[in-house]
Amino acid sequence: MTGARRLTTTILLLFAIFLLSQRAGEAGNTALLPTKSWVAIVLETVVIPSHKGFVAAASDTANSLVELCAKPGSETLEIARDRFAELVAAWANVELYRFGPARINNLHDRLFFWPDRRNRGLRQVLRLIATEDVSATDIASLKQKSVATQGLPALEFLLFGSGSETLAQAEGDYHCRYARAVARAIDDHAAALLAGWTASEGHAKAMTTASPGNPVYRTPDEAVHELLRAATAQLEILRDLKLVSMLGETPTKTKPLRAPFARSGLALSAMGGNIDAVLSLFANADVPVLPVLVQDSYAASLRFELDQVRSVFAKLDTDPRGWKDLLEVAQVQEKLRYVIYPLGGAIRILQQDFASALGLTLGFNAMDGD
Amino acid sequence: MRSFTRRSILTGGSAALFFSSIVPPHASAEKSAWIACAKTNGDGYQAVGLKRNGRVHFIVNLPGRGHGAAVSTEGALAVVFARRPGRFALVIDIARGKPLQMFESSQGRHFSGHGFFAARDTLLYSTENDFDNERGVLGIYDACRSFRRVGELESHGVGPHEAILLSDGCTIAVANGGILTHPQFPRAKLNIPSMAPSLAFIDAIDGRLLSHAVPPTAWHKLSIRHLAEDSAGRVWLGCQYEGDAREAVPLIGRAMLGRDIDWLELDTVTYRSLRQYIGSLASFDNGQRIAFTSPVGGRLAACDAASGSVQMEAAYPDICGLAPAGAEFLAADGAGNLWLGKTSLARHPSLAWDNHITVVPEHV
Repeated sequence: MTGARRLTTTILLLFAIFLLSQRAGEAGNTALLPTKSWVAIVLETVVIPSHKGFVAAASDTANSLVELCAKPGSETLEIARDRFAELVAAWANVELYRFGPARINNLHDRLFFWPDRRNRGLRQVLRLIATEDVSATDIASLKQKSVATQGLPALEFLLFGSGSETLAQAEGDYHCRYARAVARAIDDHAAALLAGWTASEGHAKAMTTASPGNPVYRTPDEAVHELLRAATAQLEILRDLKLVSMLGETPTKTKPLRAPFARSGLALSAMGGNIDAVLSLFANADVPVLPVLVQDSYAASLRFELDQVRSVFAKLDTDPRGWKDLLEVAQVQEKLRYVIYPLGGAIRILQQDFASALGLTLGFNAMDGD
Repeated sequence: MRSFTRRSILTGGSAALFFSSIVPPHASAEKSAWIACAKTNGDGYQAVGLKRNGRVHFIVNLPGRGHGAAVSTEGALAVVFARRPGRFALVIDIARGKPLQMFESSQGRHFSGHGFFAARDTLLYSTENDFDNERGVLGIYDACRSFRRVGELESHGVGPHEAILLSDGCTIAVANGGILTHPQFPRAKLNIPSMAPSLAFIDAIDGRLLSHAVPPTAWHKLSIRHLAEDSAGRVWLGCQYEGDAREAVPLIGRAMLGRDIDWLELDTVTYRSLRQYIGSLASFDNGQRIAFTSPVGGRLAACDAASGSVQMEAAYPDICGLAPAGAEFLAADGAGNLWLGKTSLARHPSLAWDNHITVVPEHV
């Protein structure tokens, strides 16, 4: 943020706080920010609908795999791949919620075992295929196996990796039955994730009933803090683990397959979805977390930074070249290296400007201890 | 590679002479009583020597974020370690407040932010990650030869974080956090579903595993991270939980060589205030009491080491660093505050104190 922009936003913030304190004084209410209400609204309008979208996409994908196995052919395979693309888009919207239900029964890892530095997941999937292990075709026994064999990366390989062409033929029978079991497992995990939020004693209730007696959140601020930290972490993961790690230290050290969903050509759209998920929480005009004037200013700053990232991803996503070929082009690498800076700007806006305006201490130790 | 014998380890050779020749003794009251790492408000990183009154004795710039420090037993040298997955270690002349030397972890290893001097300060041990082979090690550096790396021991686990030399001088306790990480994916936890933490007791000389304590299987996501020894020789462990936020899993335990971990039961209010995260713990008051912090929960507490009963608690946002201060303890937070027990000692608003503080021995 430039000095002039910081000054402008500071003035707007002070002005908004002044107006609101006048209003609060008149009403006899000392609370400036209704964080408890914001948490309830954002859960109802963003978090839970995003998870419902993921459940719907998972169900559609599972159905498409049932259809593919029943009628193997290029058309049913194409439909299954399209459903998978929708599933990845829906996942990109919920990936940032790594807390709460995602930590129960390893749901996050079951759905998205990544990063997988040594390709353990891929090796396990290949072993299952090579041995035609029938236990992987049964959803109950598949769930007992390694988390790496039952999530989106596994299904991506089955639908787009080597041997996936057999899915259009009768000879792909095992391949299809395993893929179908994975899709069903994802469907179950997605439903469990949603239930973890919406159950009567689920995480949404924990976040909206913060109190000293609440086992997870003692104050509404802690719930807001959780969401702010999750959004920040998602941008850091996007920058450090998905982009920097993939681009390597030099142009010749680029590793395109390190990006999640590179094999299916969905890497850019998935990363774009991650950006949208953050914007839907903290730059959402319908669900302002801050007093309106401050929200307008800070959300605009956040959107300014993230739109630059989004724009690069969107333009590259229209390029007809495959992901690996694309990553060999120097200008493409430069563009992707460039987005690291606006991502850093967005992280600072969330950690400093939003946190400060919310009256939260995003502590140096609390945010990133060891 | 230099070889070591039990005798040379325990007697320490000529290191004391070496050190006294380069660092004249300074017994002044102005000398640093503690060493801590900090972040500046300009996003720089520093190692700071703190006087007994909480004022700054020296500041040394670091090339990246620091974490913990090892201080030689006679208080002449501090070695500040990079935070995981950093690779630098900076040697500081405490009396002069000057950096003496920078060295790096060897190829294929990064520091985990903690270490200690041993063998009368002739050797420095540091917790390290052999990331390509996915195993923890303790790097050994010869303090008499420009901290040349002279060997390493298995940590007997994955992701060692803090290790301490016990008061017998030849047993190391290692907190193997159990979490697999790799610098290609900085800060990412790569094995949460299968993580396996442990507290390993190791022979400091030959690296033999003397005993191994682990949490119950149901608590395999309880990462053991920080350690302190009390006056009875019990090793206290501070943990961070990676599982379901609603589970009431103990975060503090006590263990001794060859015995299981005795988990501390805290009352519900205290427990919940920790938010499944212990950032630091320290033994103080001659090892009769233990202090612990949770920066995530903004909680500071101290308990009696014998009974385990909590004797004091306070709520301070982002509190983390802890070190003994005689009958009290020093605590530090991310807003630059230093606390002696519950009493404000000093404030340095331009600094955010990082996770740990190390006492300079004569000030224990």
